[in-house]
Amino acid sequence: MSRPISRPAIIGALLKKELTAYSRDFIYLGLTLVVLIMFPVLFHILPDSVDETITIAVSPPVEVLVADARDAFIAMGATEEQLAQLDELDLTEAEEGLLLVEFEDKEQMARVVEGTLEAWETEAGDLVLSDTEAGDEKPKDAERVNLDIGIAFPASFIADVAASKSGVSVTVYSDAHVPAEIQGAMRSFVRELAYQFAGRELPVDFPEEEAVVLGQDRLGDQVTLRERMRPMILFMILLMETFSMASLISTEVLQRTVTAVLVTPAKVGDFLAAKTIFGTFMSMSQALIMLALIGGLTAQNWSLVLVVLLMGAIMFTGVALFVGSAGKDFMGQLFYAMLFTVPLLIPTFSVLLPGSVASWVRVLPSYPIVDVLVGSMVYGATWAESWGSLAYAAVWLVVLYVAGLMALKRKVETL
Amino acid sequence: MSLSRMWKVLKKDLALGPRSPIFLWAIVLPFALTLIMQVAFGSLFDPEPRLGIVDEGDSEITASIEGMEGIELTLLDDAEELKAQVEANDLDAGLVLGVGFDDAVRSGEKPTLEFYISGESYASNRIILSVTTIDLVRELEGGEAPVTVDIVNFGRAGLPISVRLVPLLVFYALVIAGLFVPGSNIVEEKEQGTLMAMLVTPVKTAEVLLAKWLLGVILATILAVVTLALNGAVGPNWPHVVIVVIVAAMLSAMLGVVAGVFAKDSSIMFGIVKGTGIFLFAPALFYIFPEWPQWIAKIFPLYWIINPIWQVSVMGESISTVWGEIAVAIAITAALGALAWTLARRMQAQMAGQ
Amino acid sequence: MREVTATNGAAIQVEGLRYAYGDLEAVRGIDFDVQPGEILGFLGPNGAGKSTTIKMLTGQLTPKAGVARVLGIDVSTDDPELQARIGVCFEEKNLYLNMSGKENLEFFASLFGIKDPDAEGVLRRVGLADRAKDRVKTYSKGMRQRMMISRAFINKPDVLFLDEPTDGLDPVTSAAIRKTIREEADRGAAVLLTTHDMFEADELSDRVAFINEGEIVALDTAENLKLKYGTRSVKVRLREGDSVRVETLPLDGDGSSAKLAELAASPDLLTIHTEEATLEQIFIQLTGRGLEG
Repeated sequence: MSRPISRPAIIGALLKKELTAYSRDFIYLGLTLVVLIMFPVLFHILPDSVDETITIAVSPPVEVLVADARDAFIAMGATEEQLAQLDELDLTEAEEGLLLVEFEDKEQMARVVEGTLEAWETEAGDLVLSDTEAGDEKPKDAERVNLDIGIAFPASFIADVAASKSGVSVTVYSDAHVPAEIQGAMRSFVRELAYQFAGRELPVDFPEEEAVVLGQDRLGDQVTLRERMRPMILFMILLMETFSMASLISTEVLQRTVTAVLVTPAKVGDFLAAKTIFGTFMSMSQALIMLALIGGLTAQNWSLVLVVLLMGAIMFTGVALFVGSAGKDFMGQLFYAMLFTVPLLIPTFSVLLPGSVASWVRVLPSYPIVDVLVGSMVYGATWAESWGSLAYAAVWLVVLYVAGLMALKRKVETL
Repeated sequence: MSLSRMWKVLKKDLALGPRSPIFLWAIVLPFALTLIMQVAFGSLFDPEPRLGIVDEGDSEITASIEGMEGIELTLLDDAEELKAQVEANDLDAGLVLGVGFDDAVRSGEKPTLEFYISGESYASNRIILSVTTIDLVRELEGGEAPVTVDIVNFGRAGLPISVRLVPLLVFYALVIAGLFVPGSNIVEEKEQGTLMAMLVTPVKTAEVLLAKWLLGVILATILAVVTLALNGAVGPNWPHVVIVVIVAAMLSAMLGVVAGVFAKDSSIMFGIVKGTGIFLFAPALFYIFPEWPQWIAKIFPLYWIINPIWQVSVMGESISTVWGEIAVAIAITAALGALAWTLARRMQAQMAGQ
Repeated sequence: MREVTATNGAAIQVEGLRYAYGDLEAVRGIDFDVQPGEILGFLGPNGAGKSTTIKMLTGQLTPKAGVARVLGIDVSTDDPELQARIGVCFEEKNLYLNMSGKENLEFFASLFGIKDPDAEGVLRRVGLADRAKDRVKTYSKGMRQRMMISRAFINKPDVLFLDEPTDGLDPVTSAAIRKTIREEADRGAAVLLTTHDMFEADELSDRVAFINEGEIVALDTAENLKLKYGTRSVKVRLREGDSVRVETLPLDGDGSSAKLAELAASPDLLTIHTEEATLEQIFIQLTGRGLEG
């Protein structure tokens, strides 16, 4: 004879069954393991720095240009002060983000840009050229320097321009895949150099530098691809668990084991509560494991990150409930799973792109989750700065979860 | 082995295809993905420097930038809106050209250049936009530049993202149509018992599996070629394209047969596809992000079918440049075929014991 | 809703019960009761309304009209006390395939609040003790059916609902299951059993209800039904040269006694056997269709 049993005890029994079923499913366990290994590996393969400079080759070296110009300046009667300024010339000074690699020989530089010569930088900072076509060996302990642009100045460039000589010509060698805007910028750069050396001031005034850069200046401290991928990986973990949960729910529906449960003291509500708790628990725990493997929590963001992950876990559990109840067979359920999860994935790509996202992307239910994750993990957003997205996420959470609950309840009751 | 019986099984599968959501999904997905990827995401993977201009005086600078390649120009009406977008990094830089700016420059008044830079913009974009703007201001001033600059290009121009996405799109066609359709088809037949019903007739297991394989090959070939055509990647060397696509379809369909024979039910089949998804698709990502270390792509088995498609179809190379990769792909297909046969015998034993 | 008459101690009492799937009336106002310790067999072809009736009585469907009480509890009130005291064996095999037989029983027992269910003892009753720890997906069809039965028993229910409990099973397994069902009835459980197997209904049921197109067309003991609707006859085998002639002779009717005496005295008489109507024959007679429908 059975004893009266409380609702929590029934839900506890159902949860124990869920765990048993999940743990016996070696395919899903294996998949979970694969994902928990692969994503961190992928994460660590990604670049953890941003190369925001343009590296250009220059020939002849700046000191040669300066040396030639010095003689001409002296002949023209330049003051000591002007000669001192010339000696301190650094072509990259005015332009942060420009890196020069100097070549003695213009022809060699052109060959490096063309790709028929390779340039390598040794640990000592010396540039070594190797002609791989001729069979030269690659130098040891050296890093390849990719040079897609080279500027060939005439040796007397500074002097000629300063003396306003006509017919001064500079050649810019470029790999054809260099974008048009960079090639155009090189032309502009050389012309501006010439204007400066010719003593022709800019016809405009520049405002103070502080007024020019808007927003937090991240020069030299850009967000790396790895940092951008962190929230995306966490989000993907949550979303992929949707597939697993939907499949397990679908199996119970299709095999009618839920019917067997519902003729015991367990009610539909107990069944749904157990699915919700289990689905959320699985998503959340995997997300936490991933967080431990790829990092990202700080003393400032931990509570916000955990809360939004929990919201995401519940939201996608709702999606899983809906998808699990749809479809007349397993493949049909899979079809619905893809139909729902593909749009939910779209906001994750916004992480990789600069600037604001398109307005139609902001409407998607997963957007606020991604937004808070990115804001808190990449840009250090606080609770106050995130409340709007959190509220929006809460609305979608309720909508999706209730929709999923209703769909599965209806399905179960009509079995 | 009877080709006639095999053909009957294949004919049945082709006829039943439109009733299956997976089959329909396989047909629709490449078209839908082409549309989404090229329209929605195509321009977003290869960002150009973004410049916003508020031009209150019809400046020649605006007209010049409009005519330039490689700079994404946005014209706005309000300077505050411009500054907001720059601050939000919707623009790398912003320029406000007041009324009479051009005349002020020409007359030597030295107006202030109202130029803003986004804190999140890369140094390279800042350089590009600022030197380009300064150069245009110099042109406004008039007069001859003290130097002429000649640009000499080596090699061929880089590929736009719309082209670099093609391997990913073709991959979808190959994997969904070539792998998933035959695989799930076999599993469904097992689950419904129709496979056993067929095997108690004169039809042999090998004939059934061959029919499923051909189903995948045919579907994948057609959809891969259609995807390539939709993306403008089928040129005068189309016979070579068709050959490399067929080889690719053969391998992916054989993977599907192996998966279908191995999986006892739909959930396991799904698990296999889901679990190996990143493993299958990874090579395609290396075409989208050419700055990634390309040697990593060769670790993945489907690299050996996607690279020939890339070289022959997208890059227009002759098939002779990819014989080695085709040979590797055929060898992998043959090995998978042997595996499928071994697994099929185990599958038959399991079905008999049920 | 109709007024409900006194239950008279019945474990199951049904009056005017109706159910329709859209426009299709599956159950059209049926009345019956089942006493504790009694086995009532619902006999009818596929689509007669047997499973729908069980679904209403076990709370899976809400009746559209009429009243049904199980253990005095109105089934439409969704009282958890009801679920705690019934056991159900479904027509479909809905077991957790990745769990062992023992785990399946322990899980369902936990839903009834039973802490130490003696799952192995229950499995022993149905002959599955040696496979208790094996996963259900490794069980044969007969073993899975025995699992279904054992799950229905796990909470020692006061009322058992068994939907086609021996459908598709071999005679040996079927006999074992019938034995177990009888033991439950002897323990005092009321058993409502649906089947389209005439032999099973005859063998196992204390009373039989014929159900056809949603209506009960007859309800009585099998014996009474045969007496009421069957005809008395004897089958006589007579030698005729090198062959055997079989004659069926009704016992009721003019001249039948004389004819019987004549045959009995015949030197060619080989055998005489009395014949009684089968339930299937009676069903056909009453409804115009067979049980296999």
